[in-house]
Amino acid sequence: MKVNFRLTAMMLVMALLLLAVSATTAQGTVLRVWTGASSPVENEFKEAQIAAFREAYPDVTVELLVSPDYGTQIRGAFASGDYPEVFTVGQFDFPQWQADGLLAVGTEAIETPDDIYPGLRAAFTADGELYCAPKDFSTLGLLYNIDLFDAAGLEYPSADWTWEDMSAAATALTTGDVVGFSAAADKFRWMAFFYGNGATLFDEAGEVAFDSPAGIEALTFYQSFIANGSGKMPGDLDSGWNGEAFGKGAAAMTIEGNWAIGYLNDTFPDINWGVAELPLSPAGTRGTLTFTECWAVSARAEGDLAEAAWNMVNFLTGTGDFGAKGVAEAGFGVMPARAQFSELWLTTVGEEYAAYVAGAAYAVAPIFPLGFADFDAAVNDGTTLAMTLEEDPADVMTEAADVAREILADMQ
Amino acid sequence: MTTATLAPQRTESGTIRTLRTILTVVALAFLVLFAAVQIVPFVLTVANSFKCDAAVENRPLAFIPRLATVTCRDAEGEFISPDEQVDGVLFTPSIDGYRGILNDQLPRWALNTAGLSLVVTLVRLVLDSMAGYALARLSFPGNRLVFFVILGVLMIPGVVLLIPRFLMLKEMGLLNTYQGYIITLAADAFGILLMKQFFESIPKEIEEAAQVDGANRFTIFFRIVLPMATPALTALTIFSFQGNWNNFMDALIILGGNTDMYNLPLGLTVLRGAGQDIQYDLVLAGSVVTTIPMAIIFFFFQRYFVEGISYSGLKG
Amino acid sequence: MQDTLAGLSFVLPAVVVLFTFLILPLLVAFYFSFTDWSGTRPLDQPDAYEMVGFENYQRWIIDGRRVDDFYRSVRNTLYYVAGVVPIQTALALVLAVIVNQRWLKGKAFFRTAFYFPSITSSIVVSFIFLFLFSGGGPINLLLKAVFPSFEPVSWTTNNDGLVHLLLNVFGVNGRTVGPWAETEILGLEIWEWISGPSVAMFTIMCLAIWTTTGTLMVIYLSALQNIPSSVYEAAEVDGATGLQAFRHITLPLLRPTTFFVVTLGLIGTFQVFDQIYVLQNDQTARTTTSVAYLVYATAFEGTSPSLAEASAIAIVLFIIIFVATLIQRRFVGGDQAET
Repeated sequence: MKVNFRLTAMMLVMALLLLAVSATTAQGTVLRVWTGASSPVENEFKEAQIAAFREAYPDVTVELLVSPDYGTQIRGAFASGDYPEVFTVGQFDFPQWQADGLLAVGTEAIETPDDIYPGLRAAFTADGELYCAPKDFSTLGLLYNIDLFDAAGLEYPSADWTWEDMSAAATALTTGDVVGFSAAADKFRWMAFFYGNGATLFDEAGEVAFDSPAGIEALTFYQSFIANGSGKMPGDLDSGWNGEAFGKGAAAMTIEGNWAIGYLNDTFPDINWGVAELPLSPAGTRGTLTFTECWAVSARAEGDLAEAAWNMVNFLTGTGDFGAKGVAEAGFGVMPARAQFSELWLTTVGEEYAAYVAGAAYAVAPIFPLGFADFDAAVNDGTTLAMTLEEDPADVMTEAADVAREILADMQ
Repeated sequence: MTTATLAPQRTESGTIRTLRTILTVVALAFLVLFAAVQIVPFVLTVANSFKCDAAVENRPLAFIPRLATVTCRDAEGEFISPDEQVDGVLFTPSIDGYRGILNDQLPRWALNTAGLSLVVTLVRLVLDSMAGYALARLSFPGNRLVFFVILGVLMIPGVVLLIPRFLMLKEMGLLNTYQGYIITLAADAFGILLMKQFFESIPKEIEEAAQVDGANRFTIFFRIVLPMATPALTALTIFSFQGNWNNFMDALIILGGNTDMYNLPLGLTVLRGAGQDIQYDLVLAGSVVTTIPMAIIFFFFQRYFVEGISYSGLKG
Repeated sequence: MQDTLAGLSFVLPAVVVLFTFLILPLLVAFYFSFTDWSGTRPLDQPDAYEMVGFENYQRWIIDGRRVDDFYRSVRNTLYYVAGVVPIQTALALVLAVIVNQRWLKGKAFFRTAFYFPSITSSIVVSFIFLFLFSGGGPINLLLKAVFPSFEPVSWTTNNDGLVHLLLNVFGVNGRTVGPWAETEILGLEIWEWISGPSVAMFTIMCLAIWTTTGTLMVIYLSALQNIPSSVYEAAEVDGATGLQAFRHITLPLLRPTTFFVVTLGLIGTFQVFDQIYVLQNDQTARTTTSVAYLVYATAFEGTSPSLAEASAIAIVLFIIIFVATLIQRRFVGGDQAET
């Protein structure tokens, strides 16, 4: 054992020596920029963006942190009050972080906000002010397996497809080991039909409208695939998620976002697939959901620091070469947040993904308002119960809506 | 078993001997089967780390490499089909996964991981065994209380402690420092309790003999008790080293702000990315890089589990 | 006197470390459980949080809107603990004793093999488990081969409780069981409480046992070194068979270790998070969500996360584990062993 103690002492001394690596104090404006790790190509893109910024603004020192667990790390920094000047905000975190006073108002500072898709602007707007600039986004589309459609002798989903057409196709496509539709028990899938059918969480008077007939019709439609056997949940197709079930060819259709492009092309290069807009509802309207993230500036950045921070946000999201245009040219799945570059994006990735872009015009960011966590949980629970056929879609929606009504009453 | 010569009174009939042989064979078969069940996933991990993303997810069971290599993208930059790489149990290895995690900072991260794991383990061996011994053998006021507090520490769901710990470490100026990591993890409740139960199972007589000889507690502990504790210290070394080698959360909270100080779990997580589109080839290559050293360390240390230590030789 | 001084100075360094980095944060979390702090609002802001008394506890465990979610997770966790702890302990003991046999060749190989699950990537492990338990996977095929009347089970997505399934064999189900089962206790009907672990949870439990047994085996191995070989030699002279020696020598001498392994197993399984996180899917959320998972989800997920509420749930879990440990110490023979 003696040897071990000597070793211990030695190691301690070594450790202390290592500590002598002290941070050099940077001169002038220092911008701390934090974001979460995403796919390797996207990480590379972000680093290229930052490198270009450094070149364009040589007086500003940028300290970039790509975090392995962003949610935990940024929360610690927020709590301590000492947090980065520029950081990314997911759409679901936005209401809380904005209410916590963490974000600087960007209405004046963000470059030509009118170019940004309205659905995305809405996701990051509170009290009439735009807080941060969307960096890119995804929408949901209807993925279909071309070979399976051909085999069944069916027309591919077209622009005038309705819910009924989709149901009929799903039934026709269900044979042997294949089901027509892979339907995850996830509210962020069926709520595309919810918004598509004209339903909303709250009506114009601010009352809970979640269990409106149009809303119930949407969940009933989504659940009908499971109920009539023309669809299954990905778990029942031996898959972790819709994309996997679809890629394996276990389902002929599913609903997924832009992230499916890279996944399917990397993981299932042999499958022959296309993407269409979601079908038209009985009301003749269409909807989809959007998922986005923005670059925000700290509410605590002032003076030169704030100016440098907004310069960076505009550099990363604006109309310059490394902003939305850069996203379009990189083409790693997500789309540029500014409409003027969507054509460029399609040129990069291929016209066959046009349905994702088309959805941007009417997409809704499905964000539950602050303080409605129990409502959110009730919708999750209700979705599972409806999809496992344990409860009726109308009942679970009414139950969830009642939770929302209770919360609303408590608030007043 | 040479019982025949040792114990002539025990005469086994032929049937019993046959039964015994059958039983041994069955036990051995069970053992081999069980070992296979335990090892196969690891073999598959290594095999899959040499496959492209598509083949990992579509053909995970192929495990025999061919004597050739392949790259995951063809000349046009398109991903190759899993069938081009895999045929039945055979597959053509690719090193793209390993190339993907190769990074300028990787050696630095590996060094951080090894250094921090080593130092923390050594410090823990000392602090945990001292505390464990005190709780097992020394009667001091508050012994029971300290024991319950240490037991209680294990019962805390760690998720809610992350942010309070971060705030405290910040106040103490320990964030993004190696010493912050070492001090925070210098002792662990599990290790203390492990040592405590081990010391309790050692016969008291040996220490009492030493006490009669006038040795004080420190001498007894370091000279007599600790050397007898090799098996428990071995177990503690394995657990502590492994725990720190794979430590993601503590490293994130303490060292997360400075990429130069990252350990492998943090660094590899950044490299392999996050989100729905997981690059399994990178994930698995990273996992092999972190697992192999652990396997070697375990293999090296497990030889200290030698059956039937004899205490008599240590008495003098 | 000398013992007092030595004892205090021996425990002091470790206690200082644990106190500073675990107990103080726990007290901080305890304090926050009585506030409405979101977890993100900077604490240096004057309006960072307000004291709300027992509101968070009331919401989750007394009569608030999330009571049934909480108790459902308690039920799931209890079944998990009750299933995993005895099996992993027994299996670890058997393995340790076997690889400690003198006659066994290639001990190093077997020891390392049995430890491998503890170091294998959890992602790969879950991959392989999903494959093994998939609809057309080996487990279903094997069962079909042994029992021809067996219908394939969707192991990873089935929410039916094992006890419910067993009762159903005898014709007892939700409709025929009688009104007593509809009585609601702590947010759940009695019928829901007695469901047993769901098939999906059972699958996760198998995985957990498979991965932790190796670690516990190492603890048993280190303890087995403490049994002097002379004891076995004496037994052999007396004509004891291997099994008798195991029952009358090994098992009693390993008592403190078993006690230790069970205590730690109990504490660890009550906090099960990782396995659930990796293997849960949308469909099985209701029967596989554990309390620790609920703590995580409350703190970090959704639009309105709350560290304060998560802390309150965590404190209650802490109390549950503490009580369970006390019961175990009292009734599972803590008389000889301390830990």
